[in-house]
This record gives sequence, C-alpha cells and structure tokens, in this order.
Amino acid sequence: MTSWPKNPDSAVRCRPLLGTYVVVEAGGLPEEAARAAIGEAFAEVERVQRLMSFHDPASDVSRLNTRASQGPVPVHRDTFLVLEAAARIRIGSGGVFDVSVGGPLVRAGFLPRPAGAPRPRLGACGEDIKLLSRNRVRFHRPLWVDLGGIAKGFAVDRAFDVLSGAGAAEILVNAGGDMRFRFRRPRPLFVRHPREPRQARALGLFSAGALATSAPTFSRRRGGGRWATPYHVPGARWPEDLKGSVTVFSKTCLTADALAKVAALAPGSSLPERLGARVFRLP
Amino acid sequence: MEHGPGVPLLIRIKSSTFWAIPPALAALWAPVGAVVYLSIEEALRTLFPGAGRFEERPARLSEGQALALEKSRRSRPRTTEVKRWRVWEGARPAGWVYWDQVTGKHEFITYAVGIGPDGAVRGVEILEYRESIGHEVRSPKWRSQFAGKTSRSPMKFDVDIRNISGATLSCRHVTDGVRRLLTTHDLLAEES
Repeated sequence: MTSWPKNPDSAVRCRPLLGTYVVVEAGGLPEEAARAAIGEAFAEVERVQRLMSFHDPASDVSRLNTRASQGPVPVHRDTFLVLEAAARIRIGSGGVFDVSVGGPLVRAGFLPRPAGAPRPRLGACGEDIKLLSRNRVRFHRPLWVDLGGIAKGFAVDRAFDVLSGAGAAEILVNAGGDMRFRFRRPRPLFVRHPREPRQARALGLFSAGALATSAPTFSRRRGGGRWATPYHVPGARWPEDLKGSVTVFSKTCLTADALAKVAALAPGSSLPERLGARVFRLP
Repeated sequence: MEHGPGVPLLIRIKSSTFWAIPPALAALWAPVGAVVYLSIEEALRTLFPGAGRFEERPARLSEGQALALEKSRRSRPRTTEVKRWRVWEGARPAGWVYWDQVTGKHEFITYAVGIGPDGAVRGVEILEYRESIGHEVRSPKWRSQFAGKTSRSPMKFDVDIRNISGATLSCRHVTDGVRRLLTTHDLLAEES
C-alpha cells in the first residue's frame, strides 16, 4: 500500500491538543524556518485553548460561567471576537446555533459540571449574553457557555495566520477534522464515512479555504436511556440524535464549524448559502 | 449513487478554490491510512532543540512498580520495558524523553514526551499515527463490510489523515499515556 504522494518540501507535525490530534503542515520554507513556524502555530493553538476551554477553571469561558451572571466580566479580545461571531451566527440562523449549550451538554454527560458556577436558568439562551464595551461580557440570566467547536475553528484559523505570516506557501492545519488550508496546487480533500470511521472519500479538489464536519461518529453516547450526540437544538432537553454527516466548505474554519452545526440541525437554513459556503451531506 | 453525498458532486462546479471531482472517484471509499510524522531522533531534537547529547537510558519496571502503576492509572503499560533518553546540555542534565505507544479502539499511536528537570511536561509529539491497523485492512473479512461501498477498481492508496475532514477522534489515550509516563518517571526517580 502506498500513501497519497507527499509534498517533499513540506514539514508536517502532529500534537495532541484541543482534545484531539492537531496536524500542522508548512511548505515552501527552509527547514529551520518551517520548524520554528510550526512550533509557533502549535503555541497559538495552546493559547486559544487556555482562553476558551470549558474544562480549565482559569479560562475566560469558566470565569464567564461562574461570574458573568453577577456583573460584567472582562475577557481577552480573542474570546470577545469569538463570542461576537457566535452572536452573529445565532441571529443569522434564527437561534439554531447557540453557544449557551453548556447546560444541556453537562446534563447529557458530554461535559463535566463546572465547579462553583450557578445553575443555568431554564430558558436562558444566547440572547442573554450581552457583549459590552472594552471586551466585557455579562449574562442576564445564569447560563453555561461552551465555545467547543467554534473555539477549535478559531484556534485553527489563528494557527493558519501564524504560518501565513511566516511566509509558508503550502499550509494545512487540521484539528481532528476541522481544517484550514492554502495549497499551491489543488489537492484532494476527504471526508470520513459517518458510520465506518476508518473509511474516507474525496470531496473535491481544493486550493484554499476551510472545511468542518458535524458527525456523530466518535461522539455518540448513552444519556438518559437514549443515544445522543453533542449537538443541541435550543428548546430540546437532550442533545439531538443525529445520523449521517454534514461538511461545510467556507472561508474560515470558525465559520465552517458553526455552519456545519447549523446545516446539521436546520437542513433548510439559508445561512450557509448567504455566507457563500457550500454544504456536503453524507447520509 | 446510493451513498452519494450525491447531489452536490454530480454538478461540476469550478471556482477559484474548489473543483468537483468525477462521480466515479467521489463514490470510492478508501481506508484511512498511517502517517509517520517524526523519527525518534527528530522528536528528540524537536522536544529539546538546545540539547547537546541524548543518552539512551532504558529501564525496566519491577513487578511492584508495574503493579503500583496499574493501580494508579487507567492507562496500562504495554510492557515493563521503558524506552527513554536522558537529555544533556553540555555537562548539565536538561531533562528526559520517553517513547511510548498506545492502542485505542480506532487508533494505534507512537509518541514521545519531553519531561524537564522539574518533572513537568515540556512537550508531546506524535511520531506515528495509524487508524486502520495493517492486518485488519488486509483481512478479507474486514474489507467485505465495505463491499457495496467501494468502486470496482481496487483501492490504490490509503488516505492521509491530515487531508480528512470529519468526526473528531479523541486524543484521550495519549493524554492517559502521558499521565502514566509521568507516574513512571516519578517511580523511577524514587528508585535512583
């Protein structure tokens, strides 16, 4: 068996980050420069992870979940940017996309209960997140924000920017299937089979952009006597049980990740089209 | 096109960033393959770029130590052999690098962990990542489950994991493995 031809001048490395395997590839740079740029790209992913982790009690997200219902909480500019993007997509999707999913995800066992955070109020949603001046955030009612996928998308975008700034001509950052890329020559990119995860198939030839997929493959679990996946439809008490997968091709990985959730939960939504994204569905 | 993501790929689209591929190729399922990222020599230099010398210092866990390890950690060591290197910067010890492998339901991973003189993790590098374990892919039984889904032409390549979008595979096994190596490191340090 041979592998798909590799680019001989590309440096590729992989580290366990963001709860998954993050692959970073940089081509068109001298060896030393590529090694340094890849190291910086991983450091950027770690920085975003520290800011936006649901698990880390020192993260911006944890500070918001414990304190933002009592008064304004200042956060890092990057966390604020991600919350702004989340608010735009929430409005554009008519509330289908909502980062206040922490409560239902904890109840279903996908996330650990945050220590010391007031219980989410029933009916609290993204609308209760107020973005104030000077990167301050306040919740009108107690709720638990989980930036999960879009924080991962943002981390991928930031790592991409680091490599682009270092002058890499061939760039790929792939965080467990959320990917951003720019290739010199179009390259085939693949998507996993939704139920046979060790099989993949070509989506097309790509030269620049981002891909993200919503799929239950590795994340199904039993909660409350039924199978569920960590995608939450606002108003539903348990995360939705999804079958098949939805992949979105967009300009940035943050947008691709958010739109993949929108397209999976609301197949009729026109938001992906309005944002110039393309949706691929596997049954 | 029963397995088609079908519709979008049947329409040929050409834009500056995306080209649809012929439906025959789009219907082909290929196994996710293995990737070698770094050799252990490259990993040593990546984890400790300033090091002058790496001294191979293998160790073997005693029965008591292996038992203590198993009790304290979910991640069970594959063997009592410990593959590790002592890192030197001139005459000064600068840390350790441990080599290890973990097996999950979907993956088989070789990795290296750099540990500083303070006992804290300096970095983790994946050396080899393998999803479809070789003997499974070669077994006709394993392959037959995809019988209806592959094209008539034989599959000529494995798909490189880095080019795949899709469900997220958790790195929990490696995370558990790193914790186990830290305990191993403490156990071996107590001894010396």
